[in-house]
Amino acid sequence: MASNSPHSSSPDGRGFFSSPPPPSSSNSPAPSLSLSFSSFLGGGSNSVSSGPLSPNNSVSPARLSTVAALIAQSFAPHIAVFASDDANQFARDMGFSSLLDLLRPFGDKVKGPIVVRDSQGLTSSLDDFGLRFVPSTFAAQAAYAATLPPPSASSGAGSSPTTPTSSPTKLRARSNSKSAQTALAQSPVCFDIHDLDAVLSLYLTQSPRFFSSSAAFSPAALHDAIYQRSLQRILSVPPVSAHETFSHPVASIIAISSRNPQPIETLSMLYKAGNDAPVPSYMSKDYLRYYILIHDEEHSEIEKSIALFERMKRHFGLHCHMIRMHSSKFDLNTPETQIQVVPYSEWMSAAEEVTLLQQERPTRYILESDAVNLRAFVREMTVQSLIPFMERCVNTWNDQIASSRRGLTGRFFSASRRFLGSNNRAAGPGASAGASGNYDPVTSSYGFMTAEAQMRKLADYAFMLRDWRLAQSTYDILRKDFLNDKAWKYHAGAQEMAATSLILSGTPLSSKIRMELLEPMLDSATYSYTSRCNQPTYALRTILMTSELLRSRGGGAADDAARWLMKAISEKLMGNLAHALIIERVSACYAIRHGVGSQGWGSRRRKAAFWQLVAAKEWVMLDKKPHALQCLEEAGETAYDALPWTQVAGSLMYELRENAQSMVMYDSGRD
Amino acid sequence: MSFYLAIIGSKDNAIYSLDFGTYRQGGDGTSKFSADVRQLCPFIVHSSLDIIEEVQWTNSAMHLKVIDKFYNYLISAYVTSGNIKFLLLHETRADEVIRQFFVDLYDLYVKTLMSPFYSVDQAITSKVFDQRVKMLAKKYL
Repeated sequence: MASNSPHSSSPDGRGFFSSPPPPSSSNSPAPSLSLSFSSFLGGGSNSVSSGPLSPNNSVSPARLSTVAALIAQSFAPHIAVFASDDANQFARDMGFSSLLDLLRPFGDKVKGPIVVRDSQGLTSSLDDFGLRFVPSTFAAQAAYAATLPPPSASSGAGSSPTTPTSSPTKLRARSNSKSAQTALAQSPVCFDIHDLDAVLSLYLTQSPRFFSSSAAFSPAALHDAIYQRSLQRILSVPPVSAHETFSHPVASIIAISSRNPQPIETLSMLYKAGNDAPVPSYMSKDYLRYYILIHDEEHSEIEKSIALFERMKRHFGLHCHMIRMHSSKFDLNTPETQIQVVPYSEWMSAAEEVTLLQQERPTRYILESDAVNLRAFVREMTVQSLIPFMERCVNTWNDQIASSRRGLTGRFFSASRRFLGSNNRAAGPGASAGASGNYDPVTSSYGFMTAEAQMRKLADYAFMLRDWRLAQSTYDILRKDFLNDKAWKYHAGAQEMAATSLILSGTPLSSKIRMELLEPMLDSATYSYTSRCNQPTYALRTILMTSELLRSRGGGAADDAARWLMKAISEKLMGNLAHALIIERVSACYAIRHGVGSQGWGSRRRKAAFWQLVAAKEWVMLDKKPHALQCLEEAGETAYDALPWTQVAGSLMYELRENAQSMVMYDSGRD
Repeated sequence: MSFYLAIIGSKDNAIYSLDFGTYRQGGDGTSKFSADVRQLCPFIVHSSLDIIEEVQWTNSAMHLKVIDKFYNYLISAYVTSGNIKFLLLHETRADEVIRQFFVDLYDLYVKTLMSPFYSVDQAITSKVFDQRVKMLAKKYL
């Protein structure tokens, strides 16, 4: 019945659907379309967009794993680097700004299969495990942040109790005003919206430079790549915050070089400095210490270093390593077979990338053998110290804290807790704050020794070790506790990660699970982040992360992904360029559904085309004409080229195309 | 309140379209869409065809009720036995009224279809049809 052969539309169809004359000039930046829509209701008519019998398009596992891998990699253990002055000097001699700078790229991907044992005792091997080396000063920064706000938004690696600042959802409206930036700096943001837009604008204008490394790079894949890249930027540097422990250090490296005249004393001093550093009450100092000695091949004697290393082992135990390296700077004059380019870390924040791209920093080389040594060091530390340490923590916490909460008695416990909690609240108005006693409403955080904080840490560790099921069940217990305590930020965080780990665990996402589990979790997570905690960036992270994962599932889940992105768009959680990019992503979410049979039943090609068109409109308004043309071309190919009414003068499609083309021509004439 | 009505043929071709407003609550029968939305209307409605094609096989009724939405605009659909789709873009939910409107519109459409000078999927240019649709709109919406 519904044959959609595109070539047989009647010629008389021309002229209908013709729109009234367009607004006086489409060049002038008319108010963005979406600004005029007041509300978009997230839930409600699910039956509408995803029919119960929607065909389930299976997506190739490779595709699924790229997205899942990106998300999994972005939550990697953080390792604080405490380096002595001589170790930093050593790195400077090699042409790096500090030891941290030298180590960072090597943490991107730890070589070889890393074997991880999950809570059930099953082993799995990971090929893309990564570490994040972070500066040691951040602990101090976080401590300061608890008392005074960080000086600028971009350096906001700290945390402070959420202060109700000005309205969170109107960010786009005043994205350029400086006051918005300072207002934002009050509470730590997940990432900086302005930096993200800055880096996006670089991507968009100079895209051939970054993304056209492979010859057969289609323009359609370009936007996909840009989107993935910006998602990585959003996820790469989560600030230190009370409500999630991903950015709390799992381990710290204490490093000296063989040039140090008093090695053991320096190490002890660095240890003490790390231990005495004032950290916020929610951050545990109970992390792994790893000691490294950097042997200078050019200025020190190996026998002395080995003797020193033996002494280190006696003093500090087994978590020690010696790296042999050359301390001179290399460039292209050295024979090419011996040197290697050290890339910049992939996991830098948007702000870092902007400065990197604008300043044209020099390419850095080190000796091949040094690179091999460094890689071996990172691998050994991960395999022999870090992973066992994390597994031990997970097991201990799981046995001591979490297991008592699971099972029948655990349920009774939490039920009685809830009962008592409500009793307390009834007793007096002040009692509501101390529902469970562990939550401190003044700093709006849990102390690191409380059961809740340790459970959260357990869940986060399990997440980092990719034991999705344990993580999910723990987040699930936590979100109920946090709800009782009215710890909204914690609650939102637990919901966010529960949803993410649920999708990652590979549970089949039937429409029932999506409706009854995912939907409410995501809904309350985004609501808590935006309205209760004034943290729109975290809400955006939640939406982008889960929608990308849902999209990779295909079928009805992709529809949900599109709907969540629309919610992000209507709440205006991001900057202008990101806004346009996300609109385009809605189209990609629909495009992934192909439908079944010759009729393509259940496909969303018209929806995909429509959102490409909306995106094109946005790009034209932002004066990014090649991208607008690109979108229009795709929209035309998908659906509109076969429809006469879209090509008539006065139609939006026609107007946009004219507009974009004329601007491109004007541009090429000017150059 | 503003409405946008489109009749779409069996091959995705446009047969008839009209935007109008309500006469209730002091309205004058003209639509109050912003210029942006007015331009987008045909595209919004067109994109809903994806949903219709999925739903029409799982729902035996001709009136499919609200099947899609675009921000706070809702789209109601009615599929005739000849696979001609009536789509209405509206702002508030009123299933029953819209059903009556669609049924009467179907009546009008069938009368047009019976004309010996009209063939299926052809655009309707008749002034009389236009007038009568506007009457219907005034009566129900």
